[in-house]
Amino acid sequence: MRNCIMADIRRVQKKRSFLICLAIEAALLVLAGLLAYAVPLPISMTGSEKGGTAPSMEIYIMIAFFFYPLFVGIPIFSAIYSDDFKSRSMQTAIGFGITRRKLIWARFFEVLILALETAVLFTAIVYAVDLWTGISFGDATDMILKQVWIKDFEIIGFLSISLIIVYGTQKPGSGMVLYILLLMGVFSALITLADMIPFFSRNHIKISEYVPSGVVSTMQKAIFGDDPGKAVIAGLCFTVFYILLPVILSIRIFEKKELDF
Amino acid sequence: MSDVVIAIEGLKKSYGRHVVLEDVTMHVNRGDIYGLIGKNGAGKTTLFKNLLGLSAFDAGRLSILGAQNAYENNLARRKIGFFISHSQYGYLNARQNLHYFRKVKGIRDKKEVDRVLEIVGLNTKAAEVPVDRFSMGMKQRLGIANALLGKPEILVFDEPINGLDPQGIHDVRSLIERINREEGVTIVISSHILSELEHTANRFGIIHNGRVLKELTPEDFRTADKITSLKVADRDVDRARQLLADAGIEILGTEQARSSLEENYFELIGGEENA
Repeated sequence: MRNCIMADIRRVQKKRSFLICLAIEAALLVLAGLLAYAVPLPISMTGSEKGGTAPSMEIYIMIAFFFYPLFVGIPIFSAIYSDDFKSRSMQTAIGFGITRRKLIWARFFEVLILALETAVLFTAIVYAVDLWTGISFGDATDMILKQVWIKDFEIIGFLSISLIIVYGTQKPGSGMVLYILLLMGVFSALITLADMIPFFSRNHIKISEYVPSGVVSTMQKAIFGDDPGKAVIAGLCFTVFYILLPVILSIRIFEKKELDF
Repeated sequence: MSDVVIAIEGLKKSYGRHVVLEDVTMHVNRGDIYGLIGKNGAGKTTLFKNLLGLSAFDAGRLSILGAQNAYENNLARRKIGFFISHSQYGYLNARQNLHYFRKVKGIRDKKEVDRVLEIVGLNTKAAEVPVDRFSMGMKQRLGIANALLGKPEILVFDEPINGLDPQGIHDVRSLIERINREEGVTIVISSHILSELEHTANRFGIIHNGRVLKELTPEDFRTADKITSLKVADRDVDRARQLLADAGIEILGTEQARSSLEENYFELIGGEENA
């Protein structure tokens, strides 16, 4: 399994389109930090009562992270899963005697490694620019870095959920659609509507807090609100129910699937 | 005594009510070029999928290199190299692709890539561009190089000449024969083009509607015909007729030998190397 992981990581690192996407996102994050420092927005644009630099910083960072799924999430998905099916390297590995269970775990660990790599890379870049320019982004640095790790965590979860479709249909395109819908928050928006159903609203039950994006949102609020205990609990729930469980389910589904040449 | 490297007995596979393999029995001996012949949909690819562990069979027995159970078969699969069309990353070149698969297969020796590139004739400048820019023939050769990584004892080829031009067909055929002869690798090859396998294989399995009807050798063809042909030069035909008639030997028929289409093709384009 280690051989598979190492080979694939090296392969992805040679993929030009993947590297270009990461470079674009890194540039966006740095730009957000610089803009937050240099060009504070008028208070009215932020809609915040606090005013000044802080809300404008939030807007710049929000815009930079709006593109995060496009320049980080989708390239990771494409480099690992779409390429795997397209190149039929999976068949080669299974035909060589590597079990499907090991292969799915290997691909999952590759996603973890790439997500970690991007988070470390962006952290290093933001700090480097901070040091190099002598400009302290101040709160922006802190916010960008926290957001990078949260977004990567979310990407891992959404990707794991999409694996059920990827391995169930053996069509990474279908999994990619689900992945994009999850990233865009389409399901969470629909489920927010469910909260309005009289039974739930009467009993103060918010289903939207339990869906993947809801759990991440809880974790995010806890991190920014300096509530580490709540953040850890939300993170653990997300890891168990929306990362590990979908991977295990994918293995169960894929073990019985026939692979085409 | 022959050394059986693949033994399949009573193999069954169905998808719902649709039976794809029904009581398939076949044996491949060490050193064979075994041609699996059958029309499209006969069950060749399904049989290969079962052999390679890409699909599970419903009943029967499969033994690779003497393996006794599924676990041992899975280990034995490490000694099988198999060729799948387009099993490569388009944005990597031939060498990068092979290094990738070398690592996946856990082969430490980096020179292994040079060895297989040389065998398939891709150790050239032309092979240093991304695979997306390769011709079909080059892609097939890269696929064969991939299958050869790690010096497998058995090579499995599913329809390796599909989509190739005459030169490509000729190259792949020569390559398969050379690998068998020089590397001593047992080869199992499927095709629905009978003439192609007749040129290459030394044993044949005829598969039809999910059953291997018969296993044959070229010897079987000769005894089945019960006819031996003699070839003489055009100028000697009359004299040969007379001599045979004088000896009381009946001539069943005569046929003027002609060169093959392939020979004509290569002659017209000025040799195999110009194709």
